Amino acid sequence: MTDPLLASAREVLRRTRADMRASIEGIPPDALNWRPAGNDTNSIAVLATHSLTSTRWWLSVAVDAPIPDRDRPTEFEASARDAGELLALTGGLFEDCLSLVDGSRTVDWAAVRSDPDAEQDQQFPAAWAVLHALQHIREHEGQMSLTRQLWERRAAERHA
Amino acid sequence: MPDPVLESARHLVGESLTDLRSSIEGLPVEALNWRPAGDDSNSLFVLATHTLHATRLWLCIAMGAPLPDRDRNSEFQGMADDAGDCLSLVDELSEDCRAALRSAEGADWAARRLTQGRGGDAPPEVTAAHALIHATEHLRGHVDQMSLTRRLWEQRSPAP
Repeated sequence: MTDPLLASAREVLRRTRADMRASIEGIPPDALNWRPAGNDTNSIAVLATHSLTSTRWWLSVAVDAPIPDRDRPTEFEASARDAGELLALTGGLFEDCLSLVDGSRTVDWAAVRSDPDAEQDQQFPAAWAVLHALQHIREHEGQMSLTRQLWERRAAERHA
Repeated sequence: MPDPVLESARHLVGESLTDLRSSIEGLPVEALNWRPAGDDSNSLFVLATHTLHATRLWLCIAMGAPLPDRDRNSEFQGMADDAGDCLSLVDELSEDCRAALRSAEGADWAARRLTQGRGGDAPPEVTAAHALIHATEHLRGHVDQMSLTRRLWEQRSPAP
């Protein structure tokens, strides 16, 4: 029987892939790299890069897979040359994430995991890591969607 | 041994509910009803109302609890009349969400649950795991849209 958490994780990732594509497709590089409320906020390119890299990392922790390399600070400096480049990047990362929650896996959701990058030893169940990974990617997809709406409104006002 | 999935959800949902309240606390009614990208975007009041009704519903589905009444369309049409009333509504619905997660000490996450047509375009039947994950990620996604909306409001209307 398929693990219900893994099946639900795949559903969330597939839905997020479609939503993220809708936020990226058809807008120019300026829009992909625009920060809606100044330097304290993130562009669509940053949100896509950071959220998927983070999700892949947390899913790896959750299912006890090898932890991928990650340089978190550079995720917040990411920029996109065009939508095609960003879609190619996100497409590859989504495939990595989907493979981590493949239905053939067996996961003990009560198993204790720890954050390999944390300065202090933080322990949590595998279940926490998968829920965190999924809510984190949806959090940033929501910001991407709103950022695109704001860009489109700004562009319409400029051409009015 | 506590159910690791339920314990994790309690922790993550609790954090998100706290952040949701923070995103509206101290704002005037005008800010609560402001739509950052025009009529196609949602105000903080709409996001809070919709998010909390949806979270309560999906947590009840997940836990196999009686489903609350819900008029999904009206959630997107509401306007705040009073900031204090808005916070009271948020507190009441947040407590319902926490209570749903306290209603049992565990669940069969593979159990099939009926959505009874109350979850928008959700399928008629989902696993308990699907309902729990959806509640968690949907809540977090909207909370961070709210956080960005508040930041945009504050940037638009700097404090005196």
